[in-house]
Amino acid sequence: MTKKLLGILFTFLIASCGAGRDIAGDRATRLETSSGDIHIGVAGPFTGDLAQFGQSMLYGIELAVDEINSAGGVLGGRKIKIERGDDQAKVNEGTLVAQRFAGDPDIAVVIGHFNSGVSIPASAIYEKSGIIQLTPASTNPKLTQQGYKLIFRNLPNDDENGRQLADFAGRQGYKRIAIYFANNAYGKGLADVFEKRAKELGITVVDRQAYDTERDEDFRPVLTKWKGNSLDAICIAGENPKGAIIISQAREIGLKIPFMGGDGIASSELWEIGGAASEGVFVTSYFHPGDKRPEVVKFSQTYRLRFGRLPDVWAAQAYDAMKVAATAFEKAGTISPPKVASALRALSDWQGVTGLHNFDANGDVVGKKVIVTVVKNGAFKLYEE
Amino acid sequence: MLEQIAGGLALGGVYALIALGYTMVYGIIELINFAHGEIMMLGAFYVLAFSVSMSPDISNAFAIYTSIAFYFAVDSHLNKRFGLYGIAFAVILAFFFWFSSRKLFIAEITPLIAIPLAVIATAISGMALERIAYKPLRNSPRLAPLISAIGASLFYQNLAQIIFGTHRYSLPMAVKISNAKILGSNFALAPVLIILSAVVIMIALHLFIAKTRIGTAMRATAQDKYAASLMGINVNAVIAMTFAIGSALAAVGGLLFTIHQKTLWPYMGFMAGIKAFTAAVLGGIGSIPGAMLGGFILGIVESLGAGLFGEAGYKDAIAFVILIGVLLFKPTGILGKRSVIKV
Amino acid sequence: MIKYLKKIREKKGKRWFALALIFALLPLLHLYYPHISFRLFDDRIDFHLGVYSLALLYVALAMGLNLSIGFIGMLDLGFAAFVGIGAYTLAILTNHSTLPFWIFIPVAALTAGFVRMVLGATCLHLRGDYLAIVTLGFGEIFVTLLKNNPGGLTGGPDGIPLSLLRLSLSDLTRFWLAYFFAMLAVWTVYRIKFSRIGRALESIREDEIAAEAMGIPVYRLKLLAYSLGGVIAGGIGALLAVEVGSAHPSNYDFFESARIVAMVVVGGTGSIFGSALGAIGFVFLLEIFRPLAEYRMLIFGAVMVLLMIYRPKGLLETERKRSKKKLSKLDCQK
Repeated sequence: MTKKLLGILFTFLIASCGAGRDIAGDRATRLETSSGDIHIGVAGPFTGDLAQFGQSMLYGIELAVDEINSAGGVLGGRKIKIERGDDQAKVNEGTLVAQRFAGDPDIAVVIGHFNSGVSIPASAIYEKSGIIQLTPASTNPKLTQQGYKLIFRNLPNDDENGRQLADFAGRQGYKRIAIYFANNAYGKGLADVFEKRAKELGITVVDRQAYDTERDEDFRPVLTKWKGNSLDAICIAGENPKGAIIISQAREIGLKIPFMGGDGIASSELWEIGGAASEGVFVTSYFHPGDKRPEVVKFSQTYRLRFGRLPDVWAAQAYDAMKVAATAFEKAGTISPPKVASALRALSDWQGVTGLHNFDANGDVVGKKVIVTVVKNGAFKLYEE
Repeated sequence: MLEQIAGGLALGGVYALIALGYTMVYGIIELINFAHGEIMMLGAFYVLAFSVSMSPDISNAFAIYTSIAFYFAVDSHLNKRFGLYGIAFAVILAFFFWFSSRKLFIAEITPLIAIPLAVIATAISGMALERIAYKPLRNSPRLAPLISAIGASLFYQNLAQIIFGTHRYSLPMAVKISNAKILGSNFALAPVLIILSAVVIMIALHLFIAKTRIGTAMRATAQDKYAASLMGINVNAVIAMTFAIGSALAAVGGLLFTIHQKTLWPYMGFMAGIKAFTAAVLGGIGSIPGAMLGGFILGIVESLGAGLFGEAGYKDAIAFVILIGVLLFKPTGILGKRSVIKV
Repeated sequence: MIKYLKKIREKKGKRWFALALIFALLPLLHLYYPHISFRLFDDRIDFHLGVYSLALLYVALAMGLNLSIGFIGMLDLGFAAFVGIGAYTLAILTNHSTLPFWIFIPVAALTAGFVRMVLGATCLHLRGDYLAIVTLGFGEIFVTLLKNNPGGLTGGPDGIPLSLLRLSLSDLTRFWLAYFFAMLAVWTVYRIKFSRIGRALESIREDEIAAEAMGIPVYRLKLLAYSLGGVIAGGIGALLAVEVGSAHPSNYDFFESARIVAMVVVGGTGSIFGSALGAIGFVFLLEIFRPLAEYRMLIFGAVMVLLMIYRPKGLLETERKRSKKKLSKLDCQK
């Protein structure tokens, strides 16, 4: 009896090992001829310590979807429907979310994930199952350098951001700078590039320190140490709210030098947490809600009406990601991922609330302007373009 | 250097206040209350909700939670179920509480009233937690309440996220205090305030446990529950009381933590809780002066570790390395008593 | 439900065979229904080979942890660190050599086992909760080290992506790997439990001093069981990293340790089959709860509390513990 069963099992084993299909191809042909609602996956940290970023992304996407659907949908009246996948900023959850999306034959595009560390393993699953991944937030350069065809991001990567930030420091005439970076993929990447570029420009990086995004709450020890270093500025390579807390704690202990930071600290939490401490902080970004362009004014207003606060850069990024995907659907005339991908690459100077979008062969956005804003009276003001 | 030590002492005071809750609960029922950090978080949110007017959705949800917790807290103080009438009475009380707390959550109250209110509300939460998650498990294998504590911790984190949303709040009162200076303009008020209030509270607690009747009942229960009940001590009430006091201290700890960090958010309890727990163990779990000592040591080590060792990233590791080192040479913590194993 | 549980509690060997058979048949199911999905609250629940492999791997991890919690009664709150050691050993070795990855699975297992042996040798004399706290501290130190990228080995906060390795193996290969190693872990633990060593370990759990008096080498046996748990954690951790596609610090934090402890306790401390059921239940339940979005972990936490209240000894309590019930009644009367 047992032997027989084992034999049957073994046969199954052999039989099932032989099955291999072209999942990506299947999806492309299925979606080519599909009709009805278009399913879009949205993946990010909707719970957990980074939930506020996921929430902003979700708000931006909801706004974009509502606008698209109330304007009659895309491709002749097809409505967009979003499916959420909460990755909790963890890799194991992120992989499960990616597999779940991969198992849904209707999904053509996934917008997400937020963290680079989660995006990179997930991108392999999306590529294999023929889904376009368009991340509005993961800036690690490695993500688009894996030779994949369907992976896109609509923001400059850390290399570009760090270089721009260092160039700005050079233009401001800073000579001695310390870097305080978040001990995650984003913070470390940005800090490395910033330091490299700063050295080329002849700026001395006096010290660099890491902080843990989950655990550290008290930054005074490091800041107190830097108080005696006669620095010209401190560069924060990390995200809010920790960035805002660092700045407010620095002002509390009487450290008066300027702060500058990347897109990670470009959110209203700077003054919500820091209050007056955040005045005069320089932030590079792709978006500021006070922009005078008509689409930005409209976006900021509707966002504020609906969610009760001004959009931050991640909401804007996600909003643009959704809009650019919809545009690519229209251009391609279908939602078959390979065709949408080539439509995305063929876009020229598509204008969103965060600037111009052109995608290169890797899937990186090119020519998106990095702007420098400064905090003034509890709002971002354009400092220089 | 002096500033770093002051900062470390302030952080240590916060840890010590939270650690007291761990150590009291452990002393009395030998349970690592993993949800204690979340109780601290609730305490901070109570202060916020009482002192800043919230949107109707938030205040409604929080009021409903509070009244449910209140019902269970009433229940936890009674040794016997008091039948249908009792339940009806408790429901009416809870409804009354919902009505009044809903009012309280919309009104802006001065800190002098808001803080005691928050402390009472958090104590109620702690009692409800004990009633729901630990009381049914009092005679179960030791791991069961631990798992239930981890479950409760997950529950509270996510409950707070659902009620209050994902972004961080700042407490106006805390911002005002943390920006204030004393002695001219060089020395910040916050560390002094935190250390002072922590020390005062801990001395008061020590006197309470050493001198009062309830304190004596607590010590008796901690030594031998069975014998204590024979002496006419209501063990259930004493345990509920322990949770109430521990949670009240956690509420103050939460407020001080908010003053120290300037923000509060649903996940603030987890790491602070683990650190405070480490402090409790470092000082010798079950011992109240031990919790104080452990908290202050941990705070100073973290503060100096970041400043002196160059690499700030390793500072969490330093705290735990010291913990392991101490436990290896003094297996019951610095001030812990060596328990005699009966054969 | 409980009646059914009682029934399977009585038939010992057969229930394992049934479980193994069910999991062996899953690939066949996969052949026809690669994704078993249904909708709840307008959201999609999906069961696929990835979830099944994950369940199997967690079964094996629960076995490893059961060796210390169930067999010698030592609570371990840093078990995920050893899973992480296995994962990072595999990730670092595959990145620095061209040898096929499966050679490194035993290496990963032995490394984790060795580290756990060293930790056990220094800490096993601590009693009860103090050991739990040392392991918790060890777990935290490990994660801090990973994030700080010592010597450029661990890739810091990015972790080490293994997505290429993951892609090179089909879903089915990964499933069968998980199946094989899970069964190996179950078999090992089972053999230990019903051997002389197993009985000795049980006597240690029940009364250490009495065991010592009977001439049982308490310390050595405890260390053996403890380090064997590390071997299992390391080997399975390596596979888990391949399954997830990355060795990443966020996978080995306190919550992961707590989750594995919960699996063991919910299933029934000391009961091997119980902890297997606990592991499968946890993985499946978390998938089923996925559409609940932000309510997911809230409800999951509530379920954990309720499970403990209604089944404080776990879904399947161990037989010998049950016989103690009578004793404890006597205890009250004394």
